[in-house]
Amino acid sequence: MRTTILAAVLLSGTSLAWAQTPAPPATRPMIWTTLGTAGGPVVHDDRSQPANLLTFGDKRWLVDCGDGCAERLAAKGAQPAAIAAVFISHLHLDHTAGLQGLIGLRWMQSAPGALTIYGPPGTDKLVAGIIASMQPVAAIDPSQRHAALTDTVKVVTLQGGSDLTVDGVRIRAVRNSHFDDPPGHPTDNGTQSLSYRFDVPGYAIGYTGDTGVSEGVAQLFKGAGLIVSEVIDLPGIVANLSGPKSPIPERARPALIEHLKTQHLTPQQAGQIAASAGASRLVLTHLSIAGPTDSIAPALIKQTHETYRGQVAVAHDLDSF
Amino acid sequence: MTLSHCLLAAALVLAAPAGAQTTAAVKPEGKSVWVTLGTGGGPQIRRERSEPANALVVNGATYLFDVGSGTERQMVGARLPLRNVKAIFVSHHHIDHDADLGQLISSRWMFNSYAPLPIVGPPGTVDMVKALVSADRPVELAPIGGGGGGQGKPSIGATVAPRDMALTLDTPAEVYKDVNIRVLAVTNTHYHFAPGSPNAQLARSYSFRIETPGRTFLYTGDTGPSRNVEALGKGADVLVSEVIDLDKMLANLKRAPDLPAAMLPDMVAHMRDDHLSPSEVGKMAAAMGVDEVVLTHLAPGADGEQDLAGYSRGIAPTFKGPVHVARDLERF
Repeated sequence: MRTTILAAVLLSGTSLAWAQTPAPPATRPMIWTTLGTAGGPVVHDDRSQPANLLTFGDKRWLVDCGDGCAERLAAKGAQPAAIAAVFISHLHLDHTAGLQGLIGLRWMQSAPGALTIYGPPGTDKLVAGIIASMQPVAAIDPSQRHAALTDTVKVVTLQGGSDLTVDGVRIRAVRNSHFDDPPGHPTDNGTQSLSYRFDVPGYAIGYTGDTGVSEGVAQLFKGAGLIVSEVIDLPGIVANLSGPKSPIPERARPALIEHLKTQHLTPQQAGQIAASAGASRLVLTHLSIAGPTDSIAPALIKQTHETYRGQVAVAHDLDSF
Repeated sequence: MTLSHCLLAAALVLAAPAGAQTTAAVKPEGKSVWVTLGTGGGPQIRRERSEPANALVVNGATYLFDVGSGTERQMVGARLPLRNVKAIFVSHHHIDHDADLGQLISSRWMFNSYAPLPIVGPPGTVDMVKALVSADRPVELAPIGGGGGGQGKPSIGATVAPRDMALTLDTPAEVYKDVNIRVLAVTNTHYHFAPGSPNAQLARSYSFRIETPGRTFLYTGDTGPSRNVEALGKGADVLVSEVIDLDKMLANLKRAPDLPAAMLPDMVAHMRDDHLSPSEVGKMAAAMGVDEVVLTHLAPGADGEQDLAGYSRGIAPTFKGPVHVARDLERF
């Protein structure tokens, strides 16, 4: 009986949504879709939290999974059940908060196969907690169509230097400078902030995650055709912080501004990464900007072109590259 | 103020200009307003109707009734700040009703709201919240801007106060009270497991009566026809009810290419027994004596649906008052 509501609700649309696989443009072997282009933990209604969709062949992977990820996925015609793998760049809430819904709804939708979640140290504890949080519903809803909870996810811990191949895609990770405290610092809990590179024969995408300037990231991205980078509008944000309406006490501002300068990327710094990689295209996302995307995009692009001659795009939610 | 506080506050500052557009402001203080944050029913994520979630705003305080995926985004759209949330109520343990709970708990902590938040739900809620808190422990400890790692902040676990309601509430019982609202609950008929089975021992779904200065709301959550719910709603002003358009649902089922015919009778029985048709909503509204009906948790509630008449047709013969088929972010 329990099976019925789920199946029936799933069928309530015109068909099983995850059976619809829109054919990606044939011109590129991997398509990158920016599902959520916000930067930081503030929830916006116009820019969803950081999340990206990597599509190749009939596979769909998520790269970061902030809150609202499932809704953005639906806007692209896909359900949580369509996702086979997730790569988490680092354990900040804006990059992870969609996992509860993704894992839970995938289970409730009787998704085929296990979801593999790749992420830095600590990802295993995060996922174990989410699975434990589903015990009350699993206990009352042991439908035969539902797999045992623990069979629905698999966690693979990655760290700087990880190099693996999954479904024909080579994935490499480096530790970047977003968490740049030295080992042993009071805030060092053993986790890492990672940047990723995804390779198929003849094509590669570099994804910065959150980072400041980092030699390791620049090295990792050499030869990639597409760079997807975070960006911060530092002057705009510093102006906000220093303005009359700033809630930040004056004495605290220098340290904060220092963090914003060293643990995130300006357009010029993002441009340098793309230029040093020799990439033909640069997509700016994780937009730490103080205003609507389109009002700030022209300035971001102009500043990026100070260091980079290739194509630059400021991403909107649901854009594909 | 630690650096991590500063960073978060800074992020808030950054957000302010972007958030200046769209939607109406909260109604004036003193009025209680029900906001349908998400009006879809079931685990299928839609573009046009978010997952089940509701907010009741009383004297500027916000109370959430079910928190499906996307709740916090919908709150931003409704201009309801997370810091004003005083309690969360979960009607039953189906994931379409609670998938945003972890985000709400941790996001509230991140933005420096530390008062222990009552989270009231069926048995298992305390365990669920504990698990979500443990899930976000690595997030809590991750460095934030050089001074972070949760330094100077209480643990996430110290900011929640989950409670399990009693396993069986056949008569209305108070489950929450503060200066703004009083909440009573009963168990309803969303679950129909065989009597004596292990599932029947555990599975409970609840409806809520919320008394505010001026107006009383009855929120059905998910249920079939239920005398308990009818009794709970006596004399309420507004019935906020789930609804299913059974004909449309059956038509969808019959069109489904991969549905074994043998499963159909079982599904039809579930749809009929565990949810409310419009005529059943009408009977319930009339018996309660409410002034108006708000229909939400629309099933199927599919994207692109033009004709909504099937959700309210059948109410009028028994209930004569106004009936609203809710949209996301609508206020009542």
